Amino acid sequence: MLRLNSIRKSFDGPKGERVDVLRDLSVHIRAGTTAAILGRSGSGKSTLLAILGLLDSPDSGTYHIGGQEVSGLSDVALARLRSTHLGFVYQRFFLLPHLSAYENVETALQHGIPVPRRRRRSLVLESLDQVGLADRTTHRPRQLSGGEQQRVAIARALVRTPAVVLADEPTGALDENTSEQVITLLLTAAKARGATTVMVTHDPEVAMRTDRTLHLVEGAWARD
Amino acid sequence: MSARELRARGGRALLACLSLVIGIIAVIFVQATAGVARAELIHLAELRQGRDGSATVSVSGDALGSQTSRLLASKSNTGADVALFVSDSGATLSGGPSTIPIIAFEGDVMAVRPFDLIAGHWPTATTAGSGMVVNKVAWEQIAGGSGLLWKAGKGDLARHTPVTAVIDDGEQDPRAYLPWRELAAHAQPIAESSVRVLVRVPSGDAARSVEWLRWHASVDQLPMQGTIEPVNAAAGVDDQLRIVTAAFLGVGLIMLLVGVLGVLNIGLATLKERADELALRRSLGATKGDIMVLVLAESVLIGCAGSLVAVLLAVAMYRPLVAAALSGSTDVPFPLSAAIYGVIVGGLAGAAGGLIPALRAARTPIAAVMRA
Repeated sequence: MLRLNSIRKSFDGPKGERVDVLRDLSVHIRAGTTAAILGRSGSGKSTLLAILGLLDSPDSGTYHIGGQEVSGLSDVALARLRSTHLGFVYQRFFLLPHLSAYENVETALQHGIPVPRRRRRSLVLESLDQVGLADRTTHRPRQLSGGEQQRVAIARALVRTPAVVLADEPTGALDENTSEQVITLLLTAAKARGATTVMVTHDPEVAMRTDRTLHLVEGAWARD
Repeated sequence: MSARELRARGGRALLACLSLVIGIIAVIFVQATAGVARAELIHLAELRQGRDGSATVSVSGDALGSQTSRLLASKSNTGADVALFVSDSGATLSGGPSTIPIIAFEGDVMAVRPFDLIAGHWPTATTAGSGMVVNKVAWEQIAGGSGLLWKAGKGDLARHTPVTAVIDDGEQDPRAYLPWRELAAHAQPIAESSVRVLVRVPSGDAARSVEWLRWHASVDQLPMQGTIEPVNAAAGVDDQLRIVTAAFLGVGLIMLLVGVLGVLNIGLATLKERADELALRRSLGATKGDIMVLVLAESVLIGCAGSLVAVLLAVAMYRPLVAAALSGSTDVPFPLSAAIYGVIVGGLAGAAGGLIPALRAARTPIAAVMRA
């Protein structure tokens, strides 16, 4: 499903020097599986997730999603791929505070390939129902607990039934109990929709819940 | 979507909207007053010079009588309106604090010089001989007196004449108007006097009026003094107004520019707090173009909202301030074209103020924002 080949990425450091963040990184993640990327802060895992999510581009190397090479695609084509193939869950939830839970989930259907209004409604309600928030559709983020907010974010990530769900520290802002529930929900819901899930985490216990763990140390794989 | 986003940032959106209002009002007022001022100035010019599209020439006073009668009779064949004015008839009106010059006339005066009738009625062929017309300056001078005396030339002939009508002829000096035939019946026409002939063909085309007058002057052998001139009141007024309007419009546009800078400033300030939202939308599949359109649409909405507020304020202020000052009447409707112009200008100002924020929004570094 996802195939990275010799990916390199570097940034300008504070003194103007080049800092290699990802070094000749290759990996193949099969469709329908779950994978965790473990690593310390600064190991390059978020950069890798950004490249996997087409939010950033590598300096060199190739990246295939479902067999399609994406490095040469235009902004419009990349945006379309993000909308149709990818779903994102973030540590900070990224819910729009002035919108209700329903409207936040609906945001994912407002861009990319258009979805008719009636179909949109059923997709949003179905997605919210799947994460157990059918009775919270009109609630604003501030009226929801942290766990509920992350469930809204998961509903938003899954509403288009993407082929890939990318999660960046999805439990980083949650307590232990809630983390457990959210991870279970994320993995179950993604699997129910047949999505490949790649999760960045620093928590080994969360990583153990996935099919495969990739350990990133200073931009390179430590072990698979 | 844009309206909802705007509501979410109500305070900033309101500030941006208000920053445009003054500039848009200024532009609307310039547009609206230019129309009223033009109409007023054209009307004033027509009162003094004759209706737009007329032709005029001076002829010797010798022509008064059979030659001018033939000219006036030509109307029945061609439909052209013809009137004669003898300004230096030598006749005067007395009875007030000073003597008032009497202008003798003949023909379709109101058709070629649309005097504003303030009271009474303009003498027609049937009413001629029953009185005199005075302008409002003369009326104020004679204080509505009756038993006024008029005398022609150096003669001692005097007549008691009632005033049958008061008009506004656009003049600042007192004037009285008397049918020439009535004047001629009681005094010898003065040979040195000159007659101003004013002609207007039904089409209102000044060039045709000139041609008409030239042809009839030739046929009737009118002793012309000078050349035939077209009356182009509107063109003259437009020349006068062009510079004034441009100056006022310039001031209005500077005020509008300040408003645009306000929208730009607020738009840029808002981008920082919207970074999360914009990056999120990009991650959900919005293209750079979508983000640009989103931000630009919000600015245009702000501009349109500002222009609606400006139009409402302009309509409320228009009658008491502008219309009354320009025309002396509050019964002047607010021109719809100025309102439409204001909304268009507001939308464009919003778009101009939102362009740079929109370009910057499209370049939001998604990965950096999502990682932060």
